[in-house]
Amino acid sequence: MRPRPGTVLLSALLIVLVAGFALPRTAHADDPLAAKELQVERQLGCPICTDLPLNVCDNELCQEMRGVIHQKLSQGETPDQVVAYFVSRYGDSVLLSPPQQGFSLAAWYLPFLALVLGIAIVLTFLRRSLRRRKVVERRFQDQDPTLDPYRQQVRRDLEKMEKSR
Amino acid sequence: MADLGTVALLLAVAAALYGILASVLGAARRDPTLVRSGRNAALSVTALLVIAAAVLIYSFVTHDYSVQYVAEHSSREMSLPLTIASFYSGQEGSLLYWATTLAIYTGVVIWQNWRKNVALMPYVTAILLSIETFFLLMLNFVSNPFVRLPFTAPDGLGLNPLLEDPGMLIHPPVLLGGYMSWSVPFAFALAALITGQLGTEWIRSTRKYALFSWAVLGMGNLLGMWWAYHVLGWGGYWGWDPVENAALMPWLVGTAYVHSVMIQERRGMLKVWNLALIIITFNLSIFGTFIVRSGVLSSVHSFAESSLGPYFFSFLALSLVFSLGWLFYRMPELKGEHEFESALSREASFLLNNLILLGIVFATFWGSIFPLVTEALKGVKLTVGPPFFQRVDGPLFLVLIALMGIGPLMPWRRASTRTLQRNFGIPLAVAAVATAALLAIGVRLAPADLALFLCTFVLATTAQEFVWGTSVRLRAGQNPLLAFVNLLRSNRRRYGGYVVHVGIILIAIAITGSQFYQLEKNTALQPGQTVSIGRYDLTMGQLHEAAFPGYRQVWADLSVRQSGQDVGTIDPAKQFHTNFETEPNSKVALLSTPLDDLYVVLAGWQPDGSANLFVFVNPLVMWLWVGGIVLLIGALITLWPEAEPARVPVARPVREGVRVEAI
Repeated sequence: MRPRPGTVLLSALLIVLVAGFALPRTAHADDPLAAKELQVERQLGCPICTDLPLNVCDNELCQEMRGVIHQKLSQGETPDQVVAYFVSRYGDSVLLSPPQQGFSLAAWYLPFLALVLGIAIVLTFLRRSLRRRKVVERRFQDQDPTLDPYRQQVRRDLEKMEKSR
Repeated sequence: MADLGTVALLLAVAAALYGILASVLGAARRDPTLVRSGRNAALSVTALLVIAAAVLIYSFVTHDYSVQYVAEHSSREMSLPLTIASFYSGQEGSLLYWATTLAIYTGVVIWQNWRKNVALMPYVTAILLSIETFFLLMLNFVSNPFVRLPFTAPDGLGLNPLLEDPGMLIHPPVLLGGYMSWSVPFAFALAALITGQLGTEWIRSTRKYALFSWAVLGMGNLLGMWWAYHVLGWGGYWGWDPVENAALMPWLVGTAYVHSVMIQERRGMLKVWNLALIIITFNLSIFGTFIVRSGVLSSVHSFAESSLGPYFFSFLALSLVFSLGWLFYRMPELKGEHEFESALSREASFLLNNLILLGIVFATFWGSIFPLVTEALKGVKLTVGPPFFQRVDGPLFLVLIALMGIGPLMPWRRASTRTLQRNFGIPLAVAAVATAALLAIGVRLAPADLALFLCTFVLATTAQEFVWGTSVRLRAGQNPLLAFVNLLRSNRRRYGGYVVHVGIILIAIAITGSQFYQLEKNTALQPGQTVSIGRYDLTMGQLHEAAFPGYRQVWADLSVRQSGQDVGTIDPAKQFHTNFETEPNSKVALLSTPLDDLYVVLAGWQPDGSANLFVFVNPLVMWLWVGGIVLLIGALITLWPEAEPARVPVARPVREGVRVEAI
């Protein structure tokens, strides 16, 4: 059986959505160490000014923190370990996005939950609308078959109108 | 002189309140004299506010430092354009700016519609005056720009240095104007609900107003991005800061509205939905206007915090309850005239686009307030910043771009499989080839490839629409250029809309390039040392320091080579402004090319003469601004007034006349 075009389209959109969320986001840089440093710095905020990302904050504390990141990464720690180190020192508020655990999961997943709910509502609405429409159509078609040529004419004209628009 | 402003503001409140009463009573009792009196009251509010605004400008220009607001926001050494722009640099002035532009816009709307919409206009007037009244109450009793100091200061404090920029002359007025202008579609929608005249009347009257608001708010956002990019010095144009989010949200809901309203016009469906969208857009605009000032959410843009919070939340609550209450009351009368015929249709794809847009708005809103939620429930204040929004909003934007390609390929009512194959074939092939080419030249970050695949798909779709439309005319014997221009003129809204889509795609391409392929280096250079980044080599010259009128500046001169070729010197600087010595601001050095921008910030310096630099290479950012201009052109095409059919007395048979007009 050939898949219906609607299903194909919707699954394509769903793949875009999931891929966009799940595909890894590596920092782009000249050398691997610098890329890792950026990856860490972009996850952390300046603890003393208005949450400026660490990589673009020019105060002394942030400069020191960048030094620590550089040192730890060149000693072979992973980016995740370095981030965890700063969380243990400054608390969760040093992170630029809520941690993916506990209550903060609500921050990450509620939007998608709302979207799923929205899609469910719209689909129900569409399906009801389509069903009502079918009832009307069936009644229309049950009538006199001698009207068929006229119906076809109407359909042709409508299509022509659609094309010329 | 400033006292004249105080008096004008007081009189304006009285006139506005009278205007509301007269309009509503006049409409209810069908008393044309009273209705006209209400209209005249509205026009006098316009006049009074123009006077008040003129007085404030006059106080700025004449350096009247007995007025507190003038003394706190300007100084003698500022240039004339900046002195005038100080008008809206603080809270009192930006409220007055909002109120004055709303009053002028109200006058324009009355002038354009008074004869056309006899039934709606008294209520439209009353609603616009009610919004005006809120602002006037704030201006008179909470945040008055004409308050006098007990003495006359010899000189003013001057403007916050971050605001001393050409961006100041254009970004705030456009953004605030965008917020303000959504009042008009809202007023028409609410008037339709109140009068029960729920036909297409209000939609037809507000179509252009809504598109205008959409375009102005969009430009306000883009100008804000441009300003942030060249002033704030963090190498980017969008920081997902609460204030930025607040400006984005009404624009996104407005985008949903200008699309879904087409379904109502063509098919008489989704009436409740459209009314709800316009109500949300207006209230988000009010939210955006005040969030900068309320101090509820911390932001880098909070140049002025204040006690306005409670008043504005009360106004928001009142406006929401009132408008949603009327919507609920009229619900039974708002049934659709048609049913959906297929899930594969223009209507259904618009519905899906609306859903995604609202999804983005919800995610953005949720992310912006989440710190407040955790603080209330858990007692910890978390940060929700760029990594969150990139991860959550980013994929939704990708789906939206895909829909920008799919929507125009879908016929109204229903699509047959044949139509779909015919419409999708070429664009998908073009996108596939383009993506293969990108992979071949080394663009191999999966999310970037996905985004660029979708962007080229939309561009190909749009091009296909233009080619098909033009070729019909070519067959009719017109020359190609004329055929193209006539195509645009034949359906300005549709083809103008496609031009807007092209602008959005250029912006999306620029964002993709600069998000995924930004290079940055954080480096300290001694005189003579060189740093390489991407295709650029920067060699440090010397550090300099000098005093200028109003500020002291430290800068570094660096010579730049691009792919080995000398392209001149740049001089990133830090400026220390008088009265603001502890908050130096950066002067970014920017070298812009179509391929990428070299963006250098002087972060600090050492006693030995070395400079700490943030160096960025931001690919494709120029296309962000080009996309903005294309978007503006598209919006102008859709907004351009249709030539009114000339009313010629019938001197010849009508048929002949029609034929002549058609040529």
